Amino acid sequence: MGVKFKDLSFDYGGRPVLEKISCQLTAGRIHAVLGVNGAGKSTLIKLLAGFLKPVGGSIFLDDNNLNELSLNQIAKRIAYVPQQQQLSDLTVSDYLLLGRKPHQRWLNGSADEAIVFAILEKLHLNHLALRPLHKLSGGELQKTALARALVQEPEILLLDEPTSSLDLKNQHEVMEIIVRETTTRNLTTIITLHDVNLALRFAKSFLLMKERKILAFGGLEVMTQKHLSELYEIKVQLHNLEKSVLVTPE
Amino acid sequence: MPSISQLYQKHRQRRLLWLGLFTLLLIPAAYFIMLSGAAEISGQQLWQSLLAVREGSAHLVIWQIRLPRLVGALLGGASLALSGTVLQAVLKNPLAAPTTLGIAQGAAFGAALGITCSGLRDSLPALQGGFSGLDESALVSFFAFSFSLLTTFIIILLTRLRRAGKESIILAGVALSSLFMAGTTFLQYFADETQLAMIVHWTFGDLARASWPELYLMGVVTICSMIYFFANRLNYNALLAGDEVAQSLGINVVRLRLISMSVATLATAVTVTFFGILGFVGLIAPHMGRRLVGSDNRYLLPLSAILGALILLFADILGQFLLDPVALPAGVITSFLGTPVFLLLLFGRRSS
Repeated sequence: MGVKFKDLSFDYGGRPVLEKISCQLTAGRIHAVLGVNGAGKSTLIKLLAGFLKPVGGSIFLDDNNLNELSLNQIAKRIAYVPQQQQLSDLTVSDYLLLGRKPHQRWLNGSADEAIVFAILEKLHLNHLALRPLHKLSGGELQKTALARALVQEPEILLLDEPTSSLDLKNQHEVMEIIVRETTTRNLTTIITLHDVNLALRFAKSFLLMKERKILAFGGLEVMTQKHLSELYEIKVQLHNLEKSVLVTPE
Repeated sequence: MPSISQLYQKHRQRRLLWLGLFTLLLIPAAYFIMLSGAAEISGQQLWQSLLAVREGSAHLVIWQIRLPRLVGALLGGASLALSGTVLQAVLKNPLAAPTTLGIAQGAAFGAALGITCSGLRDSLPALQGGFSGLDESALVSFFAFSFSLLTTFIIILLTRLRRAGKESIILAGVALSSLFMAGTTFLQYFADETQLAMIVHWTFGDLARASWPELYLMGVVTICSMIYFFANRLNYNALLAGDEVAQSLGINVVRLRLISMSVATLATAVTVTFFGILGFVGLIAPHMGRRLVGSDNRYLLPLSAILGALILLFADILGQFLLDPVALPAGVITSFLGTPVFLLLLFGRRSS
């Protein structure tokens, strides 16, 4: 399932945050949303998740207008992982079971539990199954949050800065899971990132946002020195490495 | 090596075991409360009266005094504990409870106002038409209920205000409590001796106060609220992951919070109206439950309800024996024991 938004606008109490942006995001790839703080990246994610209502324009999941879907219908299609996870003493298994909420009526069935245990195994999180969330490390917590979103069996995965508080090893492990699941499940994954190099390494599509508008959108071809310098308001250099491109300040 | 599924089932069984254990504890506690009191009643008389004999003083004591007290403890304890658990879940504040939100104090003020009005009605013929259909106790209950609902209304109004955070609501509850307590003191100052005694007595939560018709009403409200809370147990779990995650799971968080608070405060209002203030039950029972089964509301809600009932049964039994032959109301015991138990739970948790 792809996501399309047309003339999308939003403001916080009269202060515009997004102004008439339009874009079409296809399934089966990671779309990295890049931009400086306050560019409207998180607002876009929240609009796509249905938390905020646009003041203008529309969002379409295939041909369905997001505004016309119920919360549960949205939850069956879109999963969201916030930047910071709330800690509690729920065990990892019980937390993951929350992901089955949109699909169940009264009880957690054994089928729901089987989905949870399969994901735990797939992401190598078995050993954490009965551990409370507040006893997890930052990396474990982020992987658990990602697992909860996958248990939801969405078609669209929204991730708000999923790697911002992680060390290098965990950043790569989390991103590798995202890449793998996006491909195997044919997800439309939309991810906001501050780390442009991480985006270059793992994403296939880039949405560059600047001052409430889209500066550029497309594949690797839009990640030019000109665009990135304009985007981050600092002169940057692009270095072509064997497997990826490295961006550094000039 | 056992699979994750097996380990998870074991973990679940451990939590169910706690539930079973405390449910079983209700049986001796209930038996004990049926046998304790001013009139000597043997176990044999109790069973006879419950199952066969329908006459005599023992039958009267059991059916009109002891059994209502037992049912009252079960319903009141469960209702206050569930309300506390749900308020803590939706406000995400471990201090949320019927007493900390000012609902109980609102009821106490209403009762004091009812007692004063009742006195004025008797002395001023012009006022007699106002509440002519209500006798004194009904008038007091009406006022107590109205003011606890008024407090609820104010609290809910505050939650609807955009700027009111979850912490501000507790602080607003504390402020409302102070206001109502000041109002009660004001009324006490001008009350005559009889009214003063009645007002003071009302504030001591007492299980012996409710009769069968009141218990039926309480039963209906408690059971309806239980069904609502239990139906939303997974939604309360989702709130533990944060409002945005809960909404992304298909939950209308604003509506859930609003209805849950309304139901919780309504259940509390009914209990407080008929029994008076039973402090700390709604605050402590959820904390005790959380220590045993964690925050998972699938287990916490039923366990809190059972613990709430047990706390009230225990407080009532203790009240019967502590200063024998004087029977202390359960509310005095819960208030006395509540503070050290709460501190123990609070600091015990920190140290662990």
